[in-house]
Amino acid sequence: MNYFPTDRFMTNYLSVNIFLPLEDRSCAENAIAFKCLKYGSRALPTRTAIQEKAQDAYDATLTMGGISKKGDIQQITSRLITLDDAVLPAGSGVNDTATSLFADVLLDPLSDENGFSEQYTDETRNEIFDKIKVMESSKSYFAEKRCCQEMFRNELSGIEQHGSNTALKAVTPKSAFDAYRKTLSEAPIEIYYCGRGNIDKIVRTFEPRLSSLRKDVHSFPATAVKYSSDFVREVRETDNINQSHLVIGFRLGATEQDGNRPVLLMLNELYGHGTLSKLFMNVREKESLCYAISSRMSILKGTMIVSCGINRSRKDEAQEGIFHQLDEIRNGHITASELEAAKRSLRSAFLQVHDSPEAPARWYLDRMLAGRVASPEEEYESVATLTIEEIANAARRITGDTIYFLEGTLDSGECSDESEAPSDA
Amino acid sequence: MKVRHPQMRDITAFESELLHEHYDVLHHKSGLDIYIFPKKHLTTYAAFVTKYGAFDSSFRFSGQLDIIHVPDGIAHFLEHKLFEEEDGTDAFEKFAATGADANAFTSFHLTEYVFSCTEQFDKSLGILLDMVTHPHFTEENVRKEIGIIEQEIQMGEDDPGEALYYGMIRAMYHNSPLRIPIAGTTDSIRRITPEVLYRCYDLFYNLHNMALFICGDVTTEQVAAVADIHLKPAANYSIERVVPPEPSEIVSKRFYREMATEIPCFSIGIKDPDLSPDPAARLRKQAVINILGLVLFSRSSEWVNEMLAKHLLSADPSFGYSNTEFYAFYEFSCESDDPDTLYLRYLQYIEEMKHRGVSPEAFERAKKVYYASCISDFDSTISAAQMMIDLVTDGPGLFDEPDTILKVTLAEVNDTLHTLFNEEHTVLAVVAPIGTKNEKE
Repeated sequence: MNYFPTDRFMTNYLSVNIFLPLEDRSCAENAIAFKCLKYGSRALPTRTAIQEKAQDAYDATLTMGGISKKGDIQQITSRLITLDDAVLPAGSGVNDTATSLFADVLLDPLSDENGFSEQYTDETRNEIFDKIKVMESSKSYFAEKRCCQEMFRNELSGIEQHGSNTALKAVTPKSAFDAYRKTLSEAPIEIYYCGRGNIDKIVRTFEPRLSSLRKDVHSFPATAVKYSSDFVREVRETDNINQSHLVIGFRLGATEQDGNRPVLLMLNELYGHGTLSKLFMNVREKESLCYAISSRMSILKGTMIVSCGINRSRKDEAQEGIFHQLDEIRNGHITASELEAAKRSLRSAFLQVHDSPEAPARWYLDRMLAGRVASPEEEYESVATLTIEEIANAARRITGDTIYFLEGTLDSGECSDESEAPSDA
Repeated sequence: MKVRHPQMRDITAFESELLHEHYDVLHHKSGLDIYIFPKKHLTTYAAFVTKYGAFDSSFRFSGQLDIIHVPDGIAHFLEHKLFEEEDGTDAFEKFAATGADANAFTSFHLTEYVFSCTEQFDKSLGILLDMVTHPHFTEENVRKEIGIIEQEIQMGEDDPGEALYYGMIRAMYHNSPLRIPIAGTTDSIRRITPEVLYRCYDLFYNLHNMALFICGDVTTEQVAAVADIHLKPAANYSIERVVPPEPSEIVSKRFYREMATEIPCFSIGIKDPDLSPDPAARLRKQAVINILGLVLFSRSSEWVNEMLAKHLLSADPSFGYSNTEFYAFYEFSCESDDPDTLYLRYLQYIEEMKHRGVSPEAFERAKKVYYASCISDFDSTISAAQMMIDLVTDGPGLFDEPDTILKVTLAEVNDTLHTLFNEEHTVLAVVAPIGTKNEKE
């Protein structure tokens, strides 16, 4: 249990975070298992009943089985957000009610000798499939996903955070329930609480129930790192869309596990994060090649993705611009004011961790996975002393890996199909 | 409770005993109203807002007959251009020197220029005020921006959510400027010139038509000192928005379009012809309808959970009511493999609810949910400031919403169920993957 006491917020935040190595079948079973929990517990066997109780507690928000991927790790996060009793009418008792409800839903699910409810297992599977479709309907997301699929095709990171469609279809109520029990028994779990509530009560709600389930607890899963790429693969696909998408994957040649978090964060800030970055100021503002362009790093995996939406006729210009701006950093073409601006921007971002009940959990969890934990203030101290040469050296270790281009085949304003003329049903 | 400040006649102070929060409104000598909401957070958020948006495509000076029409997308274009300085640099670079994170947004009724910072607030505020009050438009910088905005428009053209929204709007509204995308079209933005930009700027970026909102660890005196340095008095005149007449009837019952998307999505829109010029009345109606919506469609709704179980809904739906003096409509949206069947089930559900009525338990539960969402917005300087912007620019005040929620009655909610949710004013908009219609046939 990680505890951040504060009375600055009206809401309290509690999260239970589980970490598993990426493996297709396990990812699918655990994704369905933990998302399935929201549909019913032993005490409240329908979602309606659970939500009525949560809403009666001034909309206590339970989010079960949020699935994400960090490096080669599947992270499963279940969260509870509540208004604190101190800001509600006297006698509301929301803190205790909501925490007990959350513990029941998480640790005492509706099940029988056949595992989870078949109906709820199917509903959860459908929910995941539909969510994937919704995400892929965003072509910028789809293009980034395709680039990563190509880049990690022979690596664990190529496994989808929910598992493959095949693995999801193969999950049964029993296999999901068995995975759920095994995970609670063995997987590393970190619990975070930020707020005004009584921490002793929260510990008493969870500790006995979890302890009885824990047996052979594993350590945090590791992430394999490919430090460089010998050549750049190009993949080109088309779709019936107006805007084309260019996504380039890079290997950083360094990770946060190596102690390189500060310089990599700074590099990303200068290169492609935000409105002051080289990519934004040059490829967008000066060259007018795009509206959206940014870089995003996974410093656990040692990779970086640059993505932008462009006109298909300007792919080569945009690609050249992306590589050129990286060269600028490699050659140390960073002004003192750019460096100071990036440091200030990072400092502001770090300090803002204190302004949200959720942010500390995200901050410390990410760092725990790399085995290097530092407070926002400590991390800023590491960033503040960085020199242009150190940043340029970090950029020189970067190699291109994959270029993915999703070419839009429509002209602007063209509909991919005729709209049905407005008519009565 | 409203309290007039005893020492400074140009400040009005507002307090909420219920929420233990307070804010000041500084009526600055320049003509600008400045809202200061103190909060002991590390992040301070400022928003300089003009009451001008994509909806304002036709207008005139009060008392004059001539109507001025401007190209679609001009409010949004202005938003992009105001970051450019006379010396060719970008205001983002000035914000960089203070560590502030700046951005801007254009909606149908407002354009907002914002920053958040953890230090050097006074300097960042000065940069913001200077940037917005010193426009610089040239042929060259207008031409350059067209390329960027064209990409933004293309991004929107590929977005199924945007296609769905405008499809729903065009099925409901015959003439409203809501029918036009906020960024305009690639044709309309090519007709924008520096002269037109300056014209719109001079009309709408008048301090009497604007407001400044600040939430964070600041004092009113501190903000007043910065405003005194950077703001000059503005002439006071008013602009009348010219809104085309809109019949109460909808255009068509159904909109359908296929595009590159992976799953069908739908919006059920209900046009509400009952408009009110009174912000307090609109806030009350908003509260009633939001509570009703929570009863009907929130996570505890048996009907929603039944539709999820039958796979007629793919996830928890989004729903809400938009309510201004010019238009009002209710929207219920989600993804579904079979929107037409879902729509029939929705109509049946509404009829059943009208027959059954909203129960007292469901009503009280929904009230708690709505109240909770209102309170939790005060937890961050950004959400508190945005709430202030919404409730001040088109509402009676920041603290009126919680009070209003508590006063809503079950009778009002049941009456609204009958008056608002009628099929005559309801449309179904659907966006589906290419080939869906052929597959079904």
